[in-house]
Amino acid sequence: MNAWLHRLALIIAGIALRLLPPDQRPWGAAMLGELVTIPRGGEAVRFALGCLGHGLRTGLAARPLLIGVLCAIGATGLGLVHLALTGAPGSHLAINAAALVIGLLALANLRLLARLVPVTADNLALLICAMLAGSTMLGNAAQGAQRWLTVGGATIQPSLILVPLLVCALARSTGNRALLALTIAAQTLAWQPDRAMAGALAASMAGLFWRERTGPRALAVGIAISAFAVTLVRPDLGERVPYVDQIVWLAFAQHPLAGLAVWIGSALLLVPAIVARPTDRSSGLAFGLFWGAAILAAALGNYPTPLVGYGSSAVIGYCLALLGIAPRQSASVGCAPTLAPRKNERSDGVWRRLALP
Amino acid sequence: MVRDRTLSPVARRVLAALAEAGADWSHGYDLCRSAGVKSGTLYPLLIRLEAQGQLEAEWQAPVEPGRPPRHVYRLTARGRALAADHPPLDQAAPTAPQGIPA
Repeated sequence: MNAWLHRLALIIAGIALRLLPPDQRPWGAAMLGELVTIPRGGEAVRFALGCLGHGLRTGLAARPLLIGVLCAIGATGLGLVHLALTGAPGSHLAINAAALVIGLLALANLRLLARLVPVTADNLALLICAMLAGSTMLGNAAQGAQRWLTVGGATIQPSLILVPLLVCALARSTGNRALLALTIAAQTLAWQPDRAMAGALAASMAGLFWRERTGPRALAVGIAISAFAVTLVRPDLGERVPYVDQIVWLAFAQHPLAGLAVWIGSALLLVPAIVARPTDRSSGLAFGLFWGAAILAAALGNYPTPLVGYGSSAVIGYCLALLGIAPRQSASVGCAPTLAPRKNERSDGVWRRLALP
Repeated sequence: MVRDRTLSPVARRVLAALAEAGADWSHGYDLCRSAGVKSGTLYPLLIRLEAQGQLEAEWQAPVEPGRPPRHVYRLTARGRALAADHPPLDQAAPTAPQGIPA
């Protein structure tokens, strides 16, 4: 029994070692090396479980993009559960599932493109604001607002796709071009009007200013808040759309499990912000505040509930926004300090040569 | 980051255990036992201390054949100063006055 417990402890600590980012693996080997000195199997398992906890925390923090993708899949999946339980048409489920595939493919392609054609955050912000303004001018007006666009028979909300990506770019730049892009985007949202997206943009800009108390950040928060104020003053005549708006409250009334799926799915949207926090605090904060504000807007008014409600735009927008929390290509991954093997130190493959006591 | 003002009771206990060992090397499991901390708390702390130059760490050759080398730790001069400035809270807590003698 004791030997079995020791073997179990070795397996657990081995998993912990593999979870750790490369620069911390010598520490994982150090944890494994201790197991052979622990006489009691139960104690060795407890020690290994503690190491696994550290491995999970550190390993997840070093892989924010993976966590983000898993959260996107989880939240969209829970959204499908909500839609199925509340009797939504099958086409709603198919569209959300297809949007997830499109969003993840777009994320992968953009990552690849970013490697081939380096684009600065400033230029990306300008490109996004141009697309937002253009799509708004070409878009459809309905219920006193002009924030939708019909593409191939499907109606999308460009701001839900583009503004999250704009926030990512703005988290990484405070240059003049980024501020110009923010001004154009904020005015476009005020003109549409889109109270939810303007509010989410203002929340993320306020978060960035809280992190970096600089002149450009103060200007950015001023621009975003003024646009949000305009949307508050302008009448918002949007009526509630079933399976899309206010489902945070209504889903529970329809089916308790549907309500639970909506709440858990919404909480999942914020997880990447927490995971990304140690590696890139500004991007993680902006990401979390943006999606938190979008969820709050959906709970308070007739605005789309991201990912867990029907709507492809938010699914695609969320996937694209994960670019913002992905480790930068030039930056080192992981926040933990290194334990570089020193001269005469042996750190590789130690765990392979462990002998049980 | 291990900052002076944010040294937790656990960090203080680990520092005290390392300081007590002096120039001798300590092992991870022994530190867990002597400081009364879990491995999942100890190692992140050791990693931070080492990164800040308050802890020395090295691999020690196995004492028995077939055993793996072990990672060992001891405080640097800076680490010893940090430990001296931040004793465990039960030691650092001021004693309540017992009353003014008549």
